[in-house]
Amino acid sequence: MKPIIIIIFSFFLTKSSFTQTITTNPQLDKFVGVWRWTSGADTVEITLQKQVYILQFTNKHSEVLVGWHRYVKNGVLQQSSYQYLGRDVNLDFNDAALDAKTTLLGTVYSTSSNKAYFYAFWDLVLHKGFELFLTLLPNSNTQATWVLKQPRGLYTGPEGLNGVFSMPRNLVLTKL
Amino acid sequence: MPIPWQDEPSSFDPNNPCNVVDSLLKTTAFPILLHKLRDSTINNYEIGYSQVNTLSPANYSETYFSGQNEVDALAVNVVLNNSSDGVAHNHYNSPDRLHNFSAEDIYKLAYYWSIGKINNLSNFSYTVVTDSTSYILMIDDPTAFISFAQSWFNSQAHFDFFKIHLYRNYHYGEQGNSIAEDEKTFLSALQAPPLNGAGLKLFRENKEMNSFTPIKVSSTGQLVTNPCN
Repeated sequence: MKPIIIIIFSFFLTKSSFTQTITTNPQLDKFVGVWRWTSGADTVEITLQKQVYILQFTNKHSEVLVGWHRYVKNGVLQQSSYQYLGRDVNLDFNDAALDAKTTLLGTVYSTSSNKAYFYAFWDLVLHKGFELFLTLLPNSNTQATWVLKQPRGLYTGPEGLNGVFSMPRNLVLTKL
Repeated sequence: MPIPWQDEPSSFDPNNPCNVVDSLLKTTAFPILLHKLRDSTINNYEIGYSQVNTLSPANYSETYFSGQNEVDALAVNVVLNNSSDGVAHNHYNSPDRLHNFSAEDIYKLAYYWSIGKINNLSNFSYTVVTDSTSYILMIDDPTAFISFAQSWFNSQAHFDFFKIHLYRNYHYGEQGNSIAEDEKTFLSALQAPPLNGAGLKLFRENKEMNSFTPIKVSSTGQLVTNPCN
Protein backbone atom coordinates (compact mmCIF):
# COMPACT_ATOMS: atom_id res chain seq x y z
CA MET A 1 0.00 0.00 0.00
CA LYS A 2 2.77 2.38 0.97
CA PRO A 3 4.37 2.47 -2.49
CA ILE A 4 0.97 3.27 -4.05
CA ILE A 5 0.47 6.18 -1.66
CA ILE A 6 3.96 7.44 -2.43
CA ILE A 7 3.34 7.16 -6.18
CA ILE A 8 0.00 9.00 -5.91
CA PHE A 9 1.57 11.67 -3.70
CA SER A 10 4.47 12.04 -6.11
CA PHE A 11 2.06 12.38 -9.01
CA PHE A 12 0.22 15.28 -7.39
CA LEU A 13 3.45 16.86 -6.24
CA THR A 14 4.91 16.68 -9.73
CA LYS A 15 1.70 17.93 -11.31
CA SER A 16 1.42 20.90 -8.97
CA SER A 17 5.07 21.75 -9.47
CA PHE A 18 4.54 22.18 -13.19
CA THR A 19 1.08 23.71 -13.17
CA GLN A 20 1.25 27.33 -14.20
CA THR A 21 -1.49 29.87 -13.92
CA ILE A 22 -2.14 31.41 -17.29
CA THR A 23 -3.43 34.95 -17.36
CA THR A 24 -6.22 34.65 -19.93
CA ASN A 25 -7.70 37.45 -21.95
CA PRO A 26 -10.99 36.72 -23.78
CA GLN A 27 -10.88 40.21 -25.28
CA LEU A 28 -8.26 38.98 -27.72
CA ASP A 29 -10.68 36.63 -29.51
CA LYS A 30 -12.43 39.28 -31.57
CA PHE A 31 -9.14 40.17 -33.26
CA VAL A 32 -8.05 36.60 -34.03
CA GLY A 33 -8.20 35.85 -37.75
CA VAL A 34 -7.09 37.17 -41.11
CA TRP A 35 -7.49 40.88 -41.83
CA ARG A 36 -6.91 42.50 -45.21
CA TRP A 37 -6.90 45.90 -46.89
CA THR A 38 -6.82 46.14 -50.67
CA SER A 39 -6.61 49.19 -52.88
CA GLY A 40 -5.90 48.55 -56.55
CA ALA A 41 -2.70 46.50 -56.66
CA ASP A 42 -1.82 47.28 -53.04
CA THR A 43 -2.56 44.84 -50.23
CA VAL A 44 -1.86 44.74 -46.53
CA GLU A 45 -2.74 41.49 -44.80
CA ILE A 46 -2.19 40.31 -41.25
CA THR A 47 -2.98 37.01 -39.58
CA LEU A 48 -3.51 37.15 -35.83
CA GLN A 49 -3.51 34.30 -33.34
CA LYS A 50 -3.85 34.01 -29.60
CA GLN A 51 -0.88 32.30 -27.99
CA VAL A 52 0.32 31.72 -24.45
CA TYR A 53 3.50 33.62 -24.01
CA ILE A 54 5.98 32.56 -21.36
CA LEU A 55 8.16 35.37 -20.11
CA GLN A 56 11.13 33.20 -19.27
CA PHE A 57 12.79 35.74 -16.97
CA THR A 58 9.74 35.85 -14.70
CA ASN A 59 8.11 32.52 -15.69
CA LYS A 60 4.82 34.36 -16.12
CA HIS A 61 2.33 32.85 -18.60
CA SER A 62 0.01 35.25 -20.40
CA GLU A 63 -2.22 35.16 -23.44
CA VAL A 64 -1.07 37.60 -26.09
CA LEU A 65 -1.98 38.44 -29.66
CA VAL A 66 0.71 37.38 -32.08
CA GLY A 67 0.73 37.82 -35.81
CA TRP A 68 2.41 37.91 -39.17
CA HIS A 69 2.02 40.37 -42.01
CA ARG A 70 2.58 40.80 -45.71
CA TYR A 71 2.55 43.94 -47.82
CA VAL A 72 2.14 44.09 -51.58
CA LYS A 73 2.61 47.41 -53.38
CA ASN A 74 1.82 47.84 -57.07
CA GLY A 75 1.51 44.08 -57.31
CA VAL A 76 5.02 43.50 -55.97
CA LEU A 77 5.63 41.83 -52.61
CA GLN A 78 7.46 44.33 -50.38
CA GLN A 79 7.72 42.35 -47.17
CA SER A 80 6.24 39.27 -45.56
CA SER A 81 6.63 37.19 -42.44
CA TYR A 82 4.11 34.62 -43.67
CA GLN A 83 6.77 31.93 -43.94
CA TYR A 84 6.60 31.83 -40.13
CA LEU A 85 2.80 31.70 -39.96
CA GLY A 86 1.71 29.84 -36.82
CA ARG A 87 5.18 29.81 -35.25
CA ASP A 88 5.25 29.56 -31.47
CA VAL A 89 6.24 33.02 -30.23
CA ASN A 90 8.21 31.45 -27.39
CA LEU A 91 10.70 30.10 -29.91
CA ASP A 92 11.77 33.69 -30.52
CA PHE A 93 13.01 34.21 -26.99
CA ASN A 94 16.59 33.22 -27.71
CA ASP A 95 16.54 34.24 -31.35
CA ALA A 96 19.22 36.85 -31.91
CA ALA A 97 18.31 37.45 -35.58
CA LEU A 98 18.00 41.06 -36.72
CA ASP A 99 14.43 40.59 -37.91
CA ALA A 100 11.56 39.28 -35.82
CA LYS A 101 9.83 36.15 -37.10
CA THR A 102 6.59 36.83 -35.28
CA THR A 103 6.15 40.38 -36.51
CA LEU A 104 3.17 41.43 -34.38
CA LEU A 105 2.95 41.16 -30.62
CA GLY A 106 0.25 42.83 -28.58
CA THR A 107 -2.77 42.75 -26.36
CA VAL A 108 -6.25 44.15 -25.78
CA TYR A 109 -6.87 46.04 -22.56
CA SER A 110 -10.20 45.52 -20.80
CA THR A 111 -10.55 49.27 -20.45
CA SER A 112 -10.68 49.73 -24.23
CA SER A 113 -11.69 46.34 -25.55
CA ASN A 114 -12.38 47.52 -29.09
CA LYS A 115 -8.70 48.32 -29.59
CA ALA A 116 -5.76 45.97 -30.05
CA TYR A 117 -2.47 47.53 -29.10
CA PHE A 118 0.63 46.02 -30.69
CA TYR A 119 3.67 47.34 -28.86
CA ALA A 120 5.83 45.42 -31.27
CA PHE A 121 5.28 45.58 -35.02
CA TRP A 122 8.44 44.72 -36.89
CA ASP A 123 9.07 46.32 -40.30
CA LEU A 124 11.09 43.84 -42.35
CA VAL A 125 12.28 46.44 -44.88
CA LEU A 126 13.45 49.11 -42.43
CA HIS A 127 14.43 46.60 -39.74
CA LYS A 128 12.86 48.67 -37.01
CA GLY A 129 9.95 48.49 -34.61
CA PHE A 130 6.68 50.39 -34.71
CA GLU A 131 3.51 50.48 -32.64
CA LEU A 132 0.29 49.44 -34.33
CA PHE A 133 -3.24 50.17 -33.14
CA LEU A 134 -6.22 48.25 -34.54
CA THR A 135 -9.56 49.76 -33.53
CA LEU A 136 -12.88 48.15 -34.43
CA LEU A 137 -15.22 50.48 -36.24
CA PRO A 138 -18.39 51.31 -34.28
CA ASN A 139 -20.83 48.37 -34.20
CA SER A 140 -18.50 46.23 -36.27
CA ASN A 141 -16.51 43.09 -35.55
CA THR A 142 -15.20 42.77 -39.08
CA GLN A 143 -13.71 46.17 -39.85
CA ALA A 144 -10.94 47.93 -37.97
CA THR A 145 -8.78 50.97 -38.48
CA TRP A 146 -5.04 50.39 -38.73
CA VAL A 147 -2.85 53.17 -37.33
CA LEU A 148 0.91 52.69 -37.49
CA LYS A 149 3.09 54.89 -35.27
CA GLN A 150 6.63 55.18 -34.12
CA PRO A 151 7.02 54.01 -30.53
CA ARG A 152 6.58 56.62 -27.83
CA GLY A 153 9.70 58.07 -26.24
CA LEU A 154 13.25 58.38 -27.44
CA TYR A 155 13.97 57.04 -30.92
CA THR A 156 15.68 53.66 -30.76
CA GLY A 157 15.76 52.54 -34.39
CA PRO A 158 18.54 52.59 -36.97
CA GLU A 159 20.25 55.93 -37.58
CA GLY A 160 18.73 57.97 -40.38
CA LEU A 161 15.36 56.24 -40.25
CA ASN A 162 13.66 58.30 -37.58
CA GLY A 163 10.21 59.09 -38.95
CA VAL A 164 10.58 56.86 -41.99
CA PHE A 165 7.74 54.45 -42.75
CA SER A 166 7.72 51.77 -45.45
CA MET A 167 4.12 50.69 -44.94
CA PRO A 168 0.80 52.56 -45.02
CA ARG A 169 0.12 54.36 -41.77
CA ASN A 170 -3.65 54.69 -41.88
CA LEU A 171 -6.14 52.32 -43.49
CA VAL A 172 -9.20 50.18 -42.78
CA LEU A 173 -8.87 46.41 -42.59
CA THR A 174 -11.64 43.93 -43.23
CA LYS A 175 -11.76 40.57 -41.51
CA LEU A 176 -11.96 37.67 -43.96
CA MET B 1 30.46 85.08 -17.23
CA PRO B 2 30.92 81.84 -15.31
CA ILE B 3 27.81 80.48 -13.70
CA PRO B 4 28.05 80.83 -9.91
CA TRP B 5 28.36 77.51 -8.16
CA GLN B 6 27.04 77.00 -4.71
CA ASP B 7 29.26 75.31 -2.20
CA GLU B 8 28.87 71.58 -2.04
CA PRO B 9 27.86 70.28 1.35
CA SER B 10 30.72 68.53 3.04
CA SER B 11 28.74 65.28 3.12
CA PHE B 12 28.23 65.23 -0.64
CA ASP B 13 28.68 61.72 -2.03
CA PRO B 14 28.86 61.60 -5.84
CA ASN B 15 27.71 57.99 -5.75
CA ASN B 16 24.58 58.80 -3.77
CA PRO B 17 21.73 59.48 -6.23
CA CYS B 18 19.87 61.68 -3.74
CA ASN B 19 22.96 63.86 -3.34
CA VAL B 20 23.38 64.06 -7.11
CA VAL B 21 19.75 65.04 -7.75
CA ASP B 22 19.88 67.67 -5.00
CA SER B 23 23.07 69.06 -6.51
CA LEU B 24 21.56 69.18 -10.00
CA LEU B 25 18.67 71.25 -8.71
CA LYS B 26 21.10 73.71 -7.12
CA THR B 27 22.81 74.40 -10.43
CA THR B 28 21.58 77.19 -12.64
CA ALA B 29 21.36 75.11 -15.78
CA PHE B 30 19.31 72.10 -14.71
CA PRO B 31 16.15 73.91 -13.50
CA ILE B 32 16.23 75.99 -16.67
CA LEU B 33 16.54 72.82 -18.70
CA LEU B 34 13.48 71.35 -16.99
CA HIS B 35 11.44 74.41 -17.84
CA LYS B 36 12.62 74.45 -21.46
CA LEU B 37 11.46 70.85 -21.78
CA ARG B 38 8.09 71.59 -20.15
CA ASP B 39 7.48 74.72 -22.22
CA SER B 40 8.09 72.71 -25.37
CA THR B 41 5.43 70.08 -24.60
CA ILE B 42 2.87 72.31 -26.35
CA ASN B 43 4.57 71.49 -29.65
CA ASN B 44 3.82 68.34 -31.62
CA TYR B 45 7.31 66.92 -31.45
CA GLU B 46 9.73 65.82 -28.77
CA ILE B 47 12.91 67.62 -27.86
CA GLY B 48 15.88 66.46 -25.83
CA TYR B 49 19.32 67.40 -24.54
CA SER B 50 22.52 65.58 -23.87
CA GLN B 51 24.46 67.02 -20.96
CA VAL B 52 28.12 67.06 -20.03
CA ASN B 53 29.58 68.07 -16.66
CA THR B 54 26.19 68.36 -15.00
CA LEU B 55 27.84 68.66 -11.59
CA SER B 56 30.60 71.05 -12.70
CA PRO B 57 28.73 74.18 -13.77
CA ALA B 58 31.86 75.99 -14.95
CA ASN B 59 32.35 73.30 -17.57
CA TYR B 60 28.70 72.40 -18.19
CA SER B 61 27.43 72.09 -21.73
CA GLU B 62 24.29 70.76 -23.31
CA THR B 63 23.38 69.79 -26.86
CA TYR B 64 19.88 70.28 -28.20
CA PHE B 65 18.02 67.67 -30.25
CA SER B 66 14.58 67.93 -31.81
CA GLY B 67 12.11 65.65 -33.52
CA GLN B 68 10.80 68.64 -35.46
CA ASN B 69 12.88 68.25 -38.56
CA GLU B 70 12.40 64.55 -38.96
CA VAL B 71 9.86 63.46 -41.53
CA ASP B 72 6.84 62.96 -39.32
CA ALA B 73 9.11 61.53 -36.64
CA LEU B 74 7.99 63.53 -33.65
CA ALA B 75 10.19 61.24 -31.53
CA VAL B 76 13.54 62.77 -30.71
CA ASN B 77 16.79 60.97 -31.41
CA VAL B 78 19.31 62.03 -28.77
CA VAL B 79 22.65 60.88 -30.16
CA LEU B 80 25.60 60.67 -27.79
CA ASN B 81 28.82 61.11 -29.74
CA ASN B 82 30.83 61.69 -26.58
CA SER B 83 30.65 60.38 -23.05
CA SER B 84 27.92 62.24 -21.23
CA ASP B 85 26.62 62.91 -17.73
CA GLY B 86 22.94 63.17 -18.49
CA VAL B 87 20.16 62.98 -21.06
CA ALA B 88 16.85 64.78 -20.72
CA HIS B 89 13.87 64.74 -23.07
CA ASN B 90 10.18 65.46 -23.08
CA HIS B 91 6.98 63.74 -24.15
CA TYR B 92 4.88 66.34 -25.94
CA ASN B 93 1.13 66.72 -25.51
CA SER B 94 -0.04 63.87 -27.71
CA PRO B 95 -3.30 62.28 -26.48
CA ASP B 96 -1.55 58.92 -26.12
CA ARG B 97 1.63 60.27 -24.51
CA LEU B 98 3.19 58.50 -21.59
CA HIS B 99 3.54 60.50 -18.40
CA ASN B 100 6.61 58.54 -17.39
CA PHE B 101 9.47 56.77 -19.18
CA SER B 102 8.61 54.49 -22.10
CA ALA B 103 10.05 51.04 -22.78
CA GLU B 104 12.10 52.70 -25.53
CA ASP B 105 13.47 55.21 -23.04
CA ILE B 106 14.69 52.42 -20.77
CA TYR B 107 16.15 50.55 -23.72
CA LYS B 108 17.97 53.70 -24.80
CA LEU B 109 19.50 54.17 -21.36
CA ALA B 110 20.86 50.63 -21.57
CA TYR B 111 22.02 51.33 -25.12
CA TYR B 112 23.97 54.43 -24.04
CA TRP B 113 25.74 52.31 -21.47
CA SER B 114 26.42 49.52 -24.01
CA ILE B 115 28.18 51.93 -26.40
CA GLY B 116 30.26 53.43 -23.60
CA LYS B 117 28.72 56.91 -23.68
CA ILE B 118 27.90 57.21 -19.99
CA ASN B 119 30.72 58.82 -18.05
CA ASN B 120 29.77 57.47 -14.66
CA LEU B 121 26.76 55.24 -14.10
CA SER B 122 26.44 56.37 -10.49
CA ASN B 123 25.81 60.02 -11.25
CA PHE B 124 24.30 59.89 -14.74
CA SER B 125 20.88 61.57 -14.70
CA TYR B 126 18.12 60.48 -17.06
CA THR B 127 15.19 62.89 -17.15
CA VAL B 128 11.77 62.98 -18.75
CA VAL B 129 9.37 65.93 -18.62
CA THR B 130 5.74 66.14 -19.71
CA ASP B 131 3.17 68.90 -19.37
CA SER B 132 2.30 67.73 -15.86
CA THR B 133 5.03 65.36 -14.67
CA SER B 134 8.77 65.13 -14.46
CA TYR B 135 10.96 62.23 -13.40
CA ILE B 136 14.63 61.51 -13.06
CA LEU B 137 16.02 57.99 -13.22
CA MET B 138 19.30 57.42 -11.42
CA ILE B 139 21.34 54.24 -11.39
CA ASP B 140 21.83 53.45 -7.73
CA ASP B 141 23.19 49.93 -8.26
CA PRO B 142 25.41 49.83 -11.37
CA THR B 143 26.00 46.07 -11.10
CA ALA B 144 22.28 45.34 -11.02
CA PHE B 145 21.64 47.78 -13.86
CA ILE B 146 24.30 46.21 -16.07
CA SER B 147 22.88 42.75 -15.39
CA PHE B 148 19.41 44.04 -16.31
CA ALA B 149 20.69 45.69 -19.49
CA GLN B 150 22.58 42.60 -20.59
CA SER B 151 19.61 40.28 -19.99
CA TRP B 152 16.67 42.28 -21.28
CA PHE B 153 18.15 44.37 -24.05
CA ASN B 154 20.68 42.09 -25.70
CA SER B 155 18.35 41.27 -28.59
CA GLN B 156 15.25 42.64 -30.25
CA ALA B 157 13.31 39.61 -29.01
CA HIS B 158 14.24 40.30 -25.40
CA PHE B 159 13.35 43.96 -25.82
CA ASP B 160 9.93 42.91 -27.17
CA PHE B 161 9.49 40.72 -24.12
CA PHE B 162 10.37 43.65 -21.87
CA LYS B 163 7.50 45.51 -23.52
CA ILE B 164 5.18 42.60 -22.72
CA HIS B 165 6.41 42.66 -19.13
CA LEU B 166 5.84 46.40 -18.81
CA TYR B 167 2.76 47.05 -20.93
CA ARG B 168 0.91 43.73 -20.99
CA ASN B 169 1.66 42.16 -17.64
CA TYR B 170 1.81 45.33 -15.54
CA HIS B 171 -0.63 47.45 -17.63
CA TYR B 172 1.75 50.39 -17.68
CA GLY B 173 0.58 53.18 -19.97
CA GLU B 174 -2.87 51.65 -20.37
CA GLN B 175 -5.40 54.08 -21.77
CA GLY B 176 -7.21 55.78 -18.90
CA ASN B 177 -4.47 55.21 -16.32
CA SER B 178 -3.99 58.07 -13.90
CA ILE B 179 -0.51 59.49 -13.34
CA ALA B 180 -0.35 57.66 -10.00
CA GLU B 181 -1.41 54.38 -11.64
CA ASP B 182 1.32 54.76 -14.23
CA GLU B 183 3.85 55.43 -11.47
CA LYS B 184 2.71 52.30 -9.65
CA THR B 185 2.65 50.05 -12.70
CA PHE B 186 5.99 51.34 -13.98
CA LEU B 187 7.68 50.82 -10.62
CA SER B 188 5.95 47.50 -9.98
CA ALA B 189 7.27 46.17 -13.28
CA LEU B 190 10.80 47.30 -12.41
CA GLN B 191 10.61 46.02 -8.84
CA ALA B 192 9.22 42.60 -9.80
CA PRO B 193 11.58 39.62 -9.54
CA PRO B 194 13.99 38.98 -11.10
CA LEU B 195 14.49 42.67 -11.94
CA ASN B 196 14.25 43.70 -8.29
CA GLY B 197 14.52 47.33 -9.22
CA ALA B 198 16.98 46.85 -12.10
CA GLY B 199 19.46 49.02 -10.22
CA LEU B 200 17.32 52.08 -10.92
CA LYS B 201 15.84 54.70 -8.63
CA LEU B 202 12.94 56.87 -9.79
CA PHE B 203 12.67 60.47 -8.58
CA ARG B 204 9.37 62.33 -8.91
CA GLU B 205 9.10 66.10 -9.15
CA ASN B 206 6.96 68.33 -7.04
CA LYS B 207 4.66 70.70 -8.91
CA GLU B 208 7.23 73.48 -9.24
CA MET B 209 9.98 71.09 -10.40
CA ASN B 210 12.29 72.40 -7.67
CA SER B 211 12.31 69.24 -5.59
CA PHE B 212 12.47 65.58 -6.54
CA THR B 213 11.58 62.67 -4.24
CA PRO B 214 12.71 59.08 -4.78
CA ILE B 215 9.69 56.77 -4.82
CA LYS B 216 8.90 53.06 -4.86
CA VAL B 217 5.91 50.76 -4.46
CA SER B 218 5.67 49.32 -0.95
CA SER B 219 4.84 45.70 -0.14
CA THR B 220 1.23 46.82 0.41
CA GLY B 221 1.07 48.41 -3.04
CA GLN B 222 1.40 52.03 -1.96
CA LEU B 223 3.66 54.66 -3.47
CA VAL B 224 6.13 55.57 -0.75
CA THR B 225 9.41 57.40 -0.41
CA ASN B 226 12.42 55.32 -1.38
CA PRO B 227 15.22 56.87 0.66
CA CYS B 228 18.83 56.71 -0.44
CA ASN B 229 21.22 54.66 1.66
